[in-house]
Amino acid sequence: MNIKTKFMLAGTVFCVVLSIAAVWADSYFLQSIFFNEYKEKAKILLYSMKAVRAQAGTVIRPKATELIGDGFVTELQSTSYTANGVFSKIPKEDRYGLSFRTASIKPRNPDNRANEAEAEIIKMLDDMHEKGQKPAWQGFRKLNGAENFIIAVGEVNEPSCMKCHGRPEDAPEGMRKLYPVAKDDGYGHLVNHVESAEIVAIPVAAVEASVGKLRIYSVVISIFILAIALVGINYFLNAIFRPVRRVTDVAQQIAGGDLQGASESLDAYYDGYSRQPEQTEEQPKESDETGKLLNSFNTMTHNLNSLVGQVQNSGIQVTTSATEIAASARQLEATAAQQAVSLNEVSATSNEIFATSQQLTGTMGEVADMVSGTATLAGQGQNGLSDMEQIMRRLVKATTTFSTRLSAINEKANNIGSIITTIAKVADQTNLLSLNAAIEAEKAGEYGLGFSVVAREIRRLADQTGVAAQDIEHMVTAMQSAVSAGVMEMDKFSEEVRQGVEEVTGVGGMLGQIIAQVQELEPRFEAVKEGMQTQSEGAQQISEAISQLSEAAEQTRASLQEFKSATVQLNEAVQGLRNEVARFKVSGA
Amino acid sequence: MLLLIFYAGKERYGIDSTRVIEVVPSVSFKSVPHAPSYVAGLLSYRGNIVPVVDLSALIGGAPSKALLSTRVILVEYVGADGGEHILGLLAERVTETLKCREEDFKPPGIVASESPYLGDLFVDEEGMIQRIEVDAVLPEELRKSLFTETEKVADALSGN
Repeated sequence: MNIKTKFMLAGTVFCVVLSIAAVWADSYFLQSIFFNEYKEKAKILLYSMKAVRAQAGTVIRPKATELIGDGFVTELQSTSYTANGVFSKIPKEDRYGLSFRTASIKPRNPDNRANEAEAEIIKMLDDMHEKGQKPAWQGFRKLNGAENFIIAVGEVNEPSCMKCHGRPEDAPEGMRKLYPVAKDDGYGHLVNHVESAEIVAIPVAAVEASVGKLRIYSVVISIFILAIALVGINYFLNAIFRPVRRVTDVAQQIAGGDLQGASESLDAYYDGYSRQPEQTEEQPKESDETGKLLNSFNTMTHNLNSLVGQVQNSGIQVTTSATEIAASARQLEATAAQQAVSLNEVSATSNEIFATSQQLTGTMGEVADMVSGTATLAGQGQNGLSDMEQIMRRLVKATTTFSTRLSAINEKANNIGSIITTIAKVADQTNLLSLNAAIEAEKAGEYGLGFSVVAREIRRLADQTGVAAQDIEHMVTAMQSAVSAGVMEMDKFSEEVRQGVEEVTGVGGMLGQIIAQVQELEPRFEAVKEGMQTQSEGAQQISEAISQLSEAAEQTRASLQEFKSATVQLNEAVQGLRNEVARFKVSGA
Repeated sequence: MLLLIFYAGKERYGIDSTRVIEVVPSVSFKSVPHAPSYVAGLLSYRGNIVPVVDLSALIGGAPSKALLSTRVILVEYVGADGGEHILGLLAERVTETLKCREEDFKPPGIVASESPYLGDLFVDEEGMIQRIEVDAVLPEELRKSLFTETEKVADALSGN
């Protein structure tokens, strides 16, 4: 639903409502005017009738009474009769629907008898008179089943009235004749009371009918005016909204992203305007709001065109940049991860260095202690060595002596050996001899028996000697080999001892050097220990720094992660932007 | 009967002492070239050239060791020419004699043709002793050649 339709609808609704209100107000107003008019007419009628009664009562009746005397002529002397007669003479169509009655609760004429509603009004008027008010009343009442506006004025009974309406005996003779007293209700009136009233009734239906007629006119006129107004509104709205619609179309094109189309539409519009200026009734003049709007739209479209073009280009550039950034961030992240790993390794290494250097410091202290202990021990060792050297020198002498002795023993043993050999040979030869002797004895037969026994004994001795000699020989040989081994060992030992002495001397010198060097080492150890301490502290500081660095690297990595996700989001956002911007068709982009 | 005991290898053997002329110490022999390996060489005994047979080499295969107890048993030997000769038997550990009776000897039950010199067996507490038959010690061919040639050699020597 466009604005024009809305305007039309709103205008129509407004006009209709206004018309209805106007018609309603009009009819209300008309009704009151008519009512007032009717009231005025009714009053005029009422007071005319009253005047007729007064004329009849004050002018005609006294004169008639004078002329007639004691008789009674209704046509001359009854005021009600006169009033009713006058009213009946008014043509029905000129009565405006009004009705007039002289109603009484004690009527002489039964036609004038007040009905229930009239009696009520009369009673009300009597009360008003009694309170000192004017006995006049007007208001709505239902009479004979129809709603009526009633204007009533009560008649106050005067003493003069009592002649005819008081006691019957006071009434004129003619009257009594004309209206037999028994059937007549017109007596018994009370002075200074209201017992009859002139009542004019305006039937509401009549008023309504008049008003209704006028209302129809009013409605017809309203509809006519409404139609004219709507046509006018439509024309007016067209005048306003045609350029606006063009702008709206352009705006829709812009909204649809067709900036190129919008620009062309505007250009076409301007071209048409400049070519046929007299045919376009809604020309956009510079001063006109719509013209200004169109100009603004034109400018806006051009600006938007360049802006969107730039945005598109920028979007592409941003996408490229974001992709590059993402790639860089990925590389950075990988580098950071590697760094973190390296840092962890460095940290671990530096921790190890720290631990190792602390251990080294401890070890260094121990080494320094050991070295000084070693120096002391080396000093003691040197002293011990010089003692040992002397002892060894003595040992060399003793060994030489011992060796000499052993050589002597060996010589003696050799002698023994030759003796033993001789003994062994002797024993052998003895054995041989005994053998031969035994053989000879055997050959000698019985003569050789004794000799054979001797030979056997000799051989046993020789054998024993030989065995003993062999034993001795074995022992001597063993001794000799032992002695010569001993001599050799002694020689070797002696040589070794000599070498030992030399080595001991050398070792002593070396020990002296060691002591000197160790004594030199001590201050250096101290320096090294201090250096180690410093290194340990340095390693600890490095470790702490590395751990801080590692945390920093971790944070960097986390930041890079965030950065990466931000880049991804940026990329998505730019992609979204590009998608959005891509809807715009741009000229010359 | 008296047996002269000797050893060849680890076995004990015996020679009838009635055949023994004398037991002499082993000396260095004159070697006989091209002779069998069990011929130890030649020995001069009281002017006689005595061929010496190594019993250890003959019986056990290994020549006798040069010990004091290794001696030469000189025995009477009837040569191929029928004359009395002296034969030297080189043996190890010739230091004992044993008194025994002829009837205690028992035949071995097996006689090898290569060793006809191995005779009856005698048993004592230390084991068995085999008697060497001196006449069968030398192989026939050697006995012939040996003593003919020795005779000539002896003649040649005596002639000088």
